[in-house]
Amino acid sequence: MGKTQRWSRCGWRGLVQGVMWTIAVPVGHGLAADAAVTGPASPEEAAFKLSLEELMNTEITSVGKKRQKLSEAAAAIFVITGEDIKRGGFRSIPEALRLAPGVEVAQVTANQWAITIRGFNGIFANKLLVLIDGREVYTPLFGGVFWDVQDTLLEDVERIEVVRGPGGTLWGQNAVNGVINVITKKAAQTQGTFIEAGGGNLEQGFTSARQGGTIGDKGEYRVYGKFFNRNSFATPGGEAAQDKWNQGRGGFRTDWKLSGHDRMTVQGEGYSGNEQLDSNGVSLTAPFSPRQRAGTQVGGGNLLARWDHETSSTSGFTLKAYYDRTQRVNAVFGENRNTVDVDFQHRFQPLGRHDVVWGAGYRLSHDNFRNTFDTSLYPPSYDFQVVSGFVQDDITLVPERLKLIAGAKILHNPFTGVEYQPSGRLVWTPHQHHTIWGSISRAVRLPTRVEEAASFATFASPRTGFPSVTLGKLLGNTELKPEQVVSYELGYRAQVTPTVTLDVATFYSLYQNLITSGAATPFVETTPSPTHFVIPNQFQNTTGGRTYGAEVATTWQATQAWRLSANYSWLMIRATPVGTAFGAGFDPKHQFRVRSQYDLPHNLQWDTGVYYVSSLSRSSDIPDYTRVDTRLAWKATEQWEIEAVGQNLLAGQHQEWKPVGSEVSYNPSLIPRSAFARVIWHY
Amino acid sequence: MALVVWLMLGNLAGLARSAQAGGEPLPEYAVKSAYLYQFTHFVEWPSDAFGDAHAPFILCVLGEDPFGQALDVLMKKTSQARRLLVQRVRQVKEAESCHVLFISASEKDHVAQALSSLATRSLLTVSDIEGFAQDGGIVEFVERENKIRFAINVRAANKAGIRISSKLLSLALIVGAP
Repeated sequence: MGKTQRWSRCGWRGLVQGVMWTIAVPVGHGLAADAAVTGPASPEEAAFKLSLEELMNTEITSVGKKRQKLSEAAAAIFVITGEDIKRGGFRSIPEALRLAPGVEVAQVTANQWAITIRGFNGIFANKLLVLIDGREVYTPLFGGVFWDVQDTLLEDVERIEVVRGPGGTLWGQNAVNGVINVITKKAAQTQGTFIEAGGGNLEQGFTSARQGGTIGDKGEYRVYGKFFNRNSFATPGGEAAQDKWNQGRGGFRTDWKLSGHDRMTVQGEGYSGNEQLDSNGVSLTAPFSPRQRAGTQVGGGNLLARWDHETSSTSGFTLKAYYDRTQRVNAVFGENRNTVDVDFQHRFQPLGRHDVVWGAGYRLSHDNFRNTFDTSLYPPSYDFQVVSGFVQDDITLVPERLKLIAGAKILHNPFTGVEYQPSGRLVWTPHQHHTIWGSISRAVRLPTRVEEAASFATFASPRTGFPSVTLGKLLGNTELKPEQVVSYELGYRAQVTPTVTLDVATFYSLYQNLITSGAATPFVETTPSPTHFVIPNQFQNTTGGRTYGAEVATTWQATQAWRLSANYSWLMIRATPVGTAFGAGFDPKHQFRVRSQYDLPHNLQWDTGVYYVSSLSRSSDIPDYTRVDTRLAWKATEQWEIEAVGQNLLAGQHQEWKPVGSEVSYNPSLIPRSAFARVIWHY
Repeated sequence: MALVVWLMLGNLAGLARSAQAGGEPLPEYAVKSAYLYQFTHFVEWPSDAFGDAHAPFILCVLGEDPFGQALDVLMKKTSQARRLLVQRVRQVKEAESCHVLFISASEKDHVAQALSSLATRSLLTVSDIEGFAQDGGIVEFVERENKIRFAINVRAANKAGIRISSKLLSLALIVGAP
């Protein structure tokens, strides 16, 4: 039920979202509902004691049409709800990802993060597909994500779905290690006025406002704006780091009911920001690696329209199109990118036991690179076009017990031609509270613009003899093959008791053609002067490897007012050689997170999160650390809410990432203790 | 449909202000079942809808029952000196003796058909299917800011011969004008 309805709104991604939603319930909020049914202090009884007015002001513990059995999702999925983000005290999407098992989040500077799933982390980590409301936000420039500009009004985030493991069949390229899918609320869920303001030692001042309303009798809208100003961190040397930043953003969303069968969503956003950047430049004359403390200007905007047509609860189609523009300019780097994407999906049930979804998509990403001595691309401007098609069949082998999901995606790209991404998944539900699933899937990561076309200066040093300077360069390679992974996964999910859920996922992944850099033949270059001796490294498919590990996530609704959740991630990487280029492979072997959400009397909430990350493999310089966050919130009236959040209270100043390989031009910062207060007004 | 004029009631915000802040969050269908119970206090059925003064209220659920045991709690209650009975029905024609009919989201594809065959019955139709009130249902549960509100189509209520108290109407999120 939930599945089909979500699909009708979101298309084929929605289909998977729908599947996820069914797991989101038991893992997320359905727990309370189930506990309610059997627990001694029944919420049903509690509800019957309430007056109409009180009922209207009672928050519900699950949203949507759910209370489904423990899910049929044949993948390792974790859902971070908007409520989790709020109660975790997080002020940004990248920080909120710390909640999910299998995800590695290392903050590099105040405005940079290294984020991956199941290994191969780095500032340029390139094995994730990241979407915000169906818009792909990883960049074809280097295959990674500029996390600093992935934002929205966090109050309007409905949930973030995190899929570990390949998601190439349904989602598309780059979903080698996982998918992160940010979904915002419908305009109908964000009616009225919302205003927040706050500040602290790092959050030097933030504010946002949103207004939602209806448009005639057929639609709803919201418009919003936000601004933040974040302070700089400290360098390992103890000075103030050059990494403070600010950003402003405004946007809207409208949802229309065109007819009983048709819905339309139009949404858009624009942003602009300034960031300080502390990097090491390259110069052919002394001091050879001048420290560059320059400002980076970031800006962009997007507009997306989606039409959902539902012919019945089991069939319909979705047409989605968007335009996205990004710009990032500083002293050594300048890029403009314009992307147009059109997607069509159709779902139908040709035979009783088959539920088929197929689709086709086209994307054009046009970039314009401003070449500098430090970073150049040849050609500096390029049209990257991808045409894709996919089909997936969800076959019920034994009703309510056994399902097979098989599918494949085929895509054509200008760098490597035709690629295919098949997957097969089996879900066995021996009992409504127990699900066992297994999958085999293949995904590819296409070579990126940088890997194809770079000419990046990496270092310069004086040399005896002629030429008198050595210049290190990282060069692109047009002969690259795509990286590929074949992943074997096995998982188990259970509602152990009415108040306890358990989710275990294990994986074994084989990687081939991983792109790192290898030495190429040195040569002498006369321009720019002085004449210099070039030691080049070139992107090559040099390595393969394997990873294996497991994630365990559990929740326990200890009492109606107290909810505990914990997850543990174990990761082993066997890949040699790793770490000379993008995707360096510095990953913690163990991660452990515990959260407590406690509803106190008098409308108080007290929430605490503990996040342990073990030392990064291959880097003794980043020892393990434990981060402790806590939040106290008071909902003074229906309109007013105040909260105080302390972050990183235990570890104090610590470093989470050490730039390696091609990241060496970046100077990391120490992550400090921080605190902020926030006032919310809701009308 | 054109006859149904939708308007937002300006006093909603005022209501939210005057009402006490919400307590513990509760499961969605616990809240909805409590609403169904409350509705029986604020709705007047024609006298011939009940066999006699002690005949029970019959509350029916059409389609997949999303309430679970929430409705079993309801069966221990009385309203206006009448016992409450809960029946799960599979087809519209089985709903003849019901006073309140909750139409489950599983009936989404058949809801228009069901409503047209029920329009003149003295039956309080309730659903959380989106657009239910607009399409001729009487009460639609609507989710707003993670809370359950309800919309009422007065025209449909009139057609069914059901009188809804002004209190309930004043709390309705959206009201279809007669």
